Amino acid sequence: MTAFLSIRNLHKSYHGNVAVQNVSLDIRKGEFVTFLGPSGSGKSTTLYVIAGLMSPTGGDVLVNGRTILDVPSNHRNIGMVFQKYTLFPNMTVRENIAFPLVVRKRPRDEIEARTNEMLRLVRMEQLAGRYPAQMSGGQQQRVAIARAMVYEPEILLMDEPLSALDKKLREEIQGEIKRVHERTGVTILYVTHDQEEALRLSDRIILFNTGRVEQIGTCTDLYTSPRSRFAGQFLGNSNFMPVEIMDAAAGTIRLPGGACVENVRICDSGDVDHPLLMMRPEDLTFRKAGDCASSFDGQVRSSYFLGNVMNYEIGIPGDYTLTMRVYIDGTEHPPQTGDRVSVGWLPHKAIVFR
Amino acid sequence: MLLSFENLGPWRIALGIIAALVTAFLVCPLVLIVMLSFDSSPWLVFPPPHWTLRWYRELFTDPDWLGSFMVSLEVGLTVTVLSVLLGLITAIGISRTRTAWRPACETAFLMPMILPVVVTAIALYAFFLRIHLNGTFCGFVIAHLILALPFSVGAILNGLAHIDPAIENAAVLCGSSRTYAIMRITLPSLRPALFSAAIFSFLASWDEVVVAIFMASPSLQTVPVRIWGNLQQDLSPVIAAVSTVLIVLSGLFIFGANFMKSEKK
Ligand SMILES: Nc1ncnc2c1ncn2[C@@H]1O[C@H](COP(=O)(O)OP(=O)(O)OP(=O)(O)O)[C@@H](O)[C@H]1O
Ligand SMILES: [Mg+2]
Repeated sequence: MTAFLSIRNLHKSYHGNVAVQNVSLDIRKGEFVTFLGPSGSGKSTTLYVIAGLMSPTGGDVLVNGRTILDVPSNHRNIGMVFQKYTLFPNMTVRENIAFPLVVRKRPRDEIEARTNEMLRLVRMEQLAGRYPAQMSGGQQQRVAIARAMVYEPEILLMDEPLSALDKKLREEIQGEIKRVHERTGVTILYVTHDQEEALRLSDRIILFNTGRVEQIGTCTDLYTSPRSRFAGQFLGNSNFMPVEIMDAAAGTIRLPGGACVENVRICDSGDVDHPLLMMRPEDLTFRKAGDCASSFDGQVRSSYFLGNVMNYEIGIPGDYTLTMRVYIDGTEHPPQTGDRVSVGWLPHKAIVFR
Repeated sequence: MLLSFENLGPWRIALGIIAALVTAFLVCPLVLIVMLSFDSSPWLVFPPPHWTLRWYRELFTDPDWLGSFMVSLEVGLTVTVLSVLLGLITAIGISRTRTAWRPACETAFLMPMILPVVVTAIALYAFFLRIHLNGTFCGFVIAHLILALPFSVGAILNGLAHIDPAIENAAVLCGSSRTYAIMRITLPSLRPALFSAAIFSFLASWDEVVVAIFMASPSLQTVPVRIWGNLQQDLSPVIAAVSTVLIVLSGLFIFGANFMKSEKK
């Protein structure tokens, strides 16, 4: 299968400062792909190169196997929604949405019909006559989405479209975006540094770090099998602890306390100086003391209640702290702050980066 | 606010007095000249022995003065139009230059504002002598355009700084050409800046005297040049009448401009 949108060895530097290096991606038609990564990791730059607002210093961008780098932005048939509000201030909502069709010189009744359709899609029919300055941020971004979709582009780029909005509104418009994606089948490239947003929206996540692609995968891939310490740390919460690798083939490691454990996944991450064990908070459970080797004896430092789960901070010998998240079913008595506990973990769910 | 007028206590009175004194200092000369323009004595006696409209009658029946008003207006308006157009192109160019040359460009275009006017005037005079532009309308306009352009470029650059380039980029991604996006999206947002540019450009030409003296010919004299010339020959109250007319016109102009500005918001 050939990819719909391919990025090959993309490279971009600003006056010698490298912003994006050696990024290669293949994206299927109709996919919802999210660029996730910390600030300054090159997400926007990659998007701008695809949009044609910047030219790369190296590499290629292909659609259906043909390069689009020599096509000017206004002929690429790509829609884009920016982080900043970019509605045309001198036009009403309706005129804003109709603009792409007007510049394409479509017949008037088609413009009318399409604009109405888009107004309905983003549920802005009531405010069609308003000017951007008379609307909230969320309403403006909804209109911006409609404007970017009205001419049926094959690719929709979104650069943190919701980062200026509050949480509730953000979730509402995430739902809206998801719905638009399902209805229209447009290929969406979405930038965010909000991991929850990435998990909620995307088919696949592309994790960026310092201008490179750190890992590509589905949300579950990235969460359960991070390929580097960075990936493990960026997505979700994790416990880290230095260990020694005894036998890499069998997955045998030695914990700081001296105990040896087998069957741990070992992963060549390249971003650690010393082998590092990673355990997810929800993979830890309370055990009876001395139950098995893969457990730590410690003391509850603090705990807080999060609906039906408890969050614990456990102090263990060697001055480490484990964070664990335990489901409370109400039948047993949960440990309290100060209690001595034994914490068990599952070696096959933990990962050692080396 | 810490330093708001309400919080000043007894200082309020002192501040009020200072403000009144400064205002009086600024307004007194104007009041004096307005009064002199109605003075019946031809020797500018103060206080005026009698009131008269004689000087205004003289002014408005004198073809030389009326001609000067026309010249001032023609030069001023031509300069305004050219200055805004050129200023717009220049400012867009400067604001989109990504190179290290940008500050240099900006300084070069703002130079005439910093240079002593008399230096500009002499340089232009010497140059225009060579290319035979002295005393022509065209030369006059070019000379004033050089003085007006920095104001125009400055005002438009300032306006552009307040417009997010992402909006124009959005228009381009929507399928519009760059030129159409500028015309349809950026320019309308730039209207207040263009308006300021026009006002400053017009005023830069309208009340300019130094360069104008060098550029003038007997048949091409702006109002300030004619005032200057008359002052050197004889001191007639007609000058006071001209000044009063100028004060009223400028006042109307500024009020009108401010009014239109606040209408836009
Ligand atoms: N116009 C520019 N000139 C110089 N350097 C730039 C420019 N734009 C971006 N950079 C640099 O390029 C790198 C990547 O920037 P980019 O905007 O792509 O990051 P990002 O992942 O989108 O970050 P954020 O989440 O903060 O938006 C950063 O180090 C940034 O400082
Ligand atoms: Mg960005």
